[in-house]
Amino acid sequence: MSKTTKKKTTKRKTSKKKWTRVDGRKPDELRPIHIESGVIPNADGSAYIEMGRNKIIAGVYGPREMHPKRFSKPNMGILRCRYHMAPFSVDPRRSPAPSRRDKEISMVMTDAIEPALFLERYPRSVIDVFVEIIEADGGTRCASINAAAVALADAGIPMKDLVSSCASGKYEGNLILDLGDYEDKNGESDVPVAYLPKNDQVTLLQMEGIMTQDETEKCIELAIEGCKQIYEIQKEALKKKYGMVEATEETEEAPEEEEPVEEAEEE
Amino acid sequence: MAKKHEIEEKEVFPGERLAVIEEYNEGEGTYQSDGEVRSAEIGVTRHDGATRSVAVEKKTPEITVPEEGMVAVAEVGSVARRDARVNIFMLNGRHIHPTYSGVIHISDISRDYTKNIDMALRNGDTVKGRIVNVKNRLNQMSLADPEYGVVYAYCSRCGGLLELDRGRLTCPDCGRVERRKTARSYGKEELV
Repeated sequence: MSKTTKKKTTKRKTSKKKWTRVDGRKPDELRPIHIESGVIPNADGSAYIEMGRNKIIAGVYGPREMHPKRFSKPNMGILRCRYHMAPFSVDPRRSPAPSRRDKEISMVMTDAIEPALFLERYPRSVIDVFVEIIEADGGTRCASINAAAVALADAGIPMKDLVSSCASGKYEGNLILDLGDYEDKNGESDVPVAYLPKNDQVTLLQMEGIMTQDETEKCIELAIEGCKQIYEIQKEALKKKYGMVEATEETEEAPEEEEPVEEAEEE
Repeated sequence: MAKKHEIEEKEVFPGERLAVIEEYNEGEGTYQSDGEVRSAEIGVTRHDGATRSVAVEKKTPEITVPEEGMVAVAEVGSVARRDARVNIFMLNGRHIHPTYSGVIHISDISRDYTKNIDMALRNGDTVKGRIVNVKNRLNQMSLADPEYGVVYAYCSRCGGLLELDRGRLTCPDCGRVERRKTARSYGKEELV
């Protein structure tokens, strides 16, 4: 299957033998990812992610009493995510008011993260997750979910699993992992997936564009493989903050507990 | 036995498999799914031989939400005929922000009959009590114990901090004497 598609593309793309992506990545290669946790001293938990040229910051507050109270639930807590793009995150400038797209992605994020939490432990409370896109380069919803999951873990909220998220899609007839902005806009299809790596569960699956059933299945598998790679990077970020060392190596523990306090006092 | 050694003192992440339920019960910081005990926290595993359970001691900050039996410190908001609304800012000695709202019913103020709630609480007081019910609309608190009651109170005439002087709450600025349902630790409760 993939062979035939490759042949077709080589015909289309004049003389070059091997098809390459716009940024020179391999089809199943992620963009470089950097995650940091505990970047907002006043938040209960926070994370910053750079995924390619995406730059996203996430903050977690709570569990805390919900206002307005009538939206709270007596038997369980509520997860409230807010996805927001900064006006300067894209070119041309964007209105800072929450758009239809922002609201939908907020909802999609909530639905993707909710299965990983024990909300029944926080009746009448709310966990707020604020995600701000500082710079956007395609696949912001996946990157936002990754950042939010690290921020939630950093806040000390018990979780069934970390949530990792990654998109895959089809561009010029090739199935590729982690679409960039150009591939996203000019490609045939885009499949964002959120995944609980240790429980082997998919919590978000969207699809845009046209693909065959076979291609879709391959895309989902590809995205799940990407999520597993991202999971390791998320873990690294949290290990770094909580002074954890690889289980196999010698342990020289220096847990920095509540380190943001010092920074807050300086101000 | 070899299994026990392996399961102790391991750094784990949420979702990591710790044991099957036949081996160990789920302890604090863990959960059970499909017959497997998994970690719910970032932390270190702790094995308890007595209960044959495995727990995860978390490295991340503790989370405090009101639960029945917790000792709460709160600021009194509005005082009505039958109850007083309070803002809980401390639970089991830990500050929480923002506050949780609670209510103290007149029947929960002391073990005796309280005829008038104004004789026990005033707006602005700081009270210490126990959370007795969280299943109603508000977190219900009780002051019916010598340990519990008002820990700091302000003069309703001049606003000065009242001092406990031979069993009487006296304002050091204007000399006014007031009545409250005071806790044993009145004026000495540490809130920092």
